[in-house]
Formats: sequence, C-alpha cells, structure tokens
Amino acid sequence: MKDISTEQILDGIVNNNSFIIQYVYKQFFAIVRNYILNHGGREDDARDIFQDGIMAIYEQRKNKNLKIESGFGTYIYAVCRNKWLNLRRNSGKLVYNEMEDLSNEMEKKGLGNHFREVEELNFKEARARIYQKHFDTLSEECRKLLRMMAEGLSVKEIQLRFNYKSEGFAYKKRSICRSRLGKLIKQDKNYNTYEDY
Amino acid sequence: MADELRFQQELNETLSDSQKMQIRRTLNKTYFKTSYVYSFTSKWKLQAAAAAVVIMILAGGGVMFNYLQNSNPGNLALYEQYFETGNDIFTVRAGESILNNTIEEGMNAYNDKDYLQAIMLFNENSNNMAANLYAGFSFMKLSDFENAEYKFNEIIEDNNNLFIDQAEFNIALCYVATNNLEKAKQMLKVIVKEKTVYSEKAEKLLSNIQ
Repeated sequence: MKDISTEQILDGIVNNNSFIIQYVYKQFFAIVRNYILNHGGREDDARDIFQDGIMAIYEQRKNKNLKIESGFGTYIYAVCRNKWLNLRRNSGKLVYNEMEDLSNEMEKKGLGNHFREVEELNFKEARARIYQKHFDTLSEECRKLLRMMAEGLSVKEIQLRFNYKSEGFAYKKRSICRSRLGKLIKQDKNYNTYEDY
Repeated sequence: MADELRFQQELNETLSDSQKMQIRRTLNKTYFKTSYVYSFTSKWKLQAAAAAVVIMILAGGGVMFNYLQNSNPGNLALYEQYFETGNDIFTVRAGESILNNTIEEGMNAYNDKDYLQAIMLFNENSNNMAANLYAGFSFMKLSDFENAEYKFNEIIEDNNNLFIDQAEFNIALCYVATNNLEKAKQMLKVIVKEKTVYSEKAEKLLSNIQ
C-alpha cells in the first residue's frame, strides 16, 4: 500500500475522511493493539485507547495546528502507550522509567509540548467517548432533546419544536432523558477510571 | 455539586460538537471492520492449521491423495478460487472513451496493489460503472465486503451498463466470504436462471458451497 503523508492523515482525521481513517486503522492499530495486549490489556482497552488517541490528535490538529515531522505512526503509538502507562500507573504498576523514556523520546523529536498537552486531552476524550456511547443508545426523541439542551435551547423552545402540550411536560421529559443518560454513564465500569483527570 | 457541574459541562461539550460525534462513529465503524478482518484472517489461519494437521495424520496412513480428491474447500478458499477481476474491462468491454486520468491512475494504483488509493480515485468517478466495479474489487481485496457489496449494488441499480452480471456474481462471492451462505445461494440461483456468461460459474460455485 502506498504511503499517505502525515499531513494528509491529519487533515483526513479532522475532515472525518473514512478512507483515511480506514488507512490509519489498517496501518497503525495492529502495533498499538499488540503493545496493549502484551502489557496486561484487553481488546476493549486497545480499541478505546486507540480511539481516544486519534480524537486527542484531532483536537491538537484542529486547534493547535499540530505538525508531526517524525511520522504519524510514531506519534500515535507514543500517545497510546503513554495513556496505557498512565492507566497502569494509577492501578499501582511501576511504569515511571518507561514513561520517562517515552517523554524524552518525544522531546528529542520536537514534540515535547504537544505530548504533554495530549495527555490531558486524551483523558477528556475518554470521558466524551463514554458520554457518547450511552447517548447513542437513547431513544431518538431523547437524543434530539438532549442535543437541543446542550446547544442552549430553552424549555419553551424545546416545547415548541416537539409540539409538547406544555412547558412543564417539556421540562419533565428533559429531566427523564437527562437522568437516564446520567445513570447509564455513571454505571459504566470505565467512567470512574477517568474521573480524576 | 462540583462533580455534577463538571458532568453537565462535559456532557454539553460532547453533545454540542456534532463533528466530533460523527468522527467517533466513523472510528467505531472502522474498528469493527478492521477487527472483522483480523478475526477473518485468524479464522482462516486456524482452518488452514487444522487442515494441515488432518493432512499430516492422513498422510501417515497413506491416504492423503484420496483425501485431497474428496475434500471440499472452505468458504474462504472457495471465494479465493472464484474471485477474478479481468484487466481488460476498461479497454475491451467499456471502450477507451470512458478512460480519464483519474480512472487510469486508479487502475495503476490497483495494479500496484495500492487498493486504498485506487478506491479514492475510482470514487471520484462514481458515475462511471466500470470505476464502481473496480472500486468494488478493491474493497474485496481489502476484505471489506460490506463496502464492496455497496459498490456492486450501485452498478445493479444503475441498470444501464455492461457490468451487472459481474456485479451480481461478485456480490454472491462477498456473501460466500462473509459466510452468508443462504444469501449467496439465493443470488447464485438467480444468476443461473438468467443464463448469462456467469451462469455456468454460478452453478459450479453453488454446488461447491458447503
């Protein structure tokens, strides 16, 4: 398979280009997956960590115009490894040396600042992934309603859009959807893992 | 209280960014496609390993030749046996007139086994049914049978081109590869009935499906 440039990959991620995303999975997921499976992780961990890594890179490209001279593979691998090491450190594993080596390696490649920033983004993305995972399981009505709420629409506007009989009913409906989603998210076994970030 | 505020704030941030939500969905979808390829490959490797063990045991008893003669290939082997593309489509069947630069580049990428690049180039010509056919073949080469089927269906729905028989046969092959055998049989029976150039092949494949 011909190589696609790092710039094309970064733009493809920001533009949600499915072919580029497919390329990224086919080229780089296996190595991340192998690392995680060989270091005490499971398939689910590999899937989530890779996805959060891509989303963190999306944020960096979109808002900070991330440039990677050393190749996309090197960066995504480092980002994912770092996240996995962080998770293992939090569960009492001794991983400091490896984390330090990784950080030094990124520093040498001129990616030190981005690498420090991506750590926080990565955990924020993990929470957002959990929110969305459960949001996508709600009824269409609840999804629409919560989206409107997030976009700042008032209860009155929601009542009019859905043709609800009263504002009170719209308010009640909103509360039901909101608490159903909140319950699902807080029951997620991975939610607490990312709570401290 | 602070936790609740943070929760609400993050929830709002997540739900109000529809672009990011869409990307997460694409990532999920792609992961499942990719992991399907892994499991497909592993399953195939497992079958091959199992077959090798059986052959070794049988060879010990001096009946290997007999076994090979009577054995039925697995579905993946069947798919590989019947999958062929034919490189003359653009020049012979569709004529020179449909060739443009991107299709030609797409063909070059396809011949270089750079299937992802080929798909991108063929997709720029999605009104061209020959390009759709090759996009479908490229997806098959990447073991992405869902997208391949989608491309072949576009050809069938167009209903005004020379590639409908080929598209139908390849959809049946995609079904075989994904172990969707009932659907494969159904499609193959239709092809046999249509009496096209693919009817004989379809009949043979039908008789080989386990």
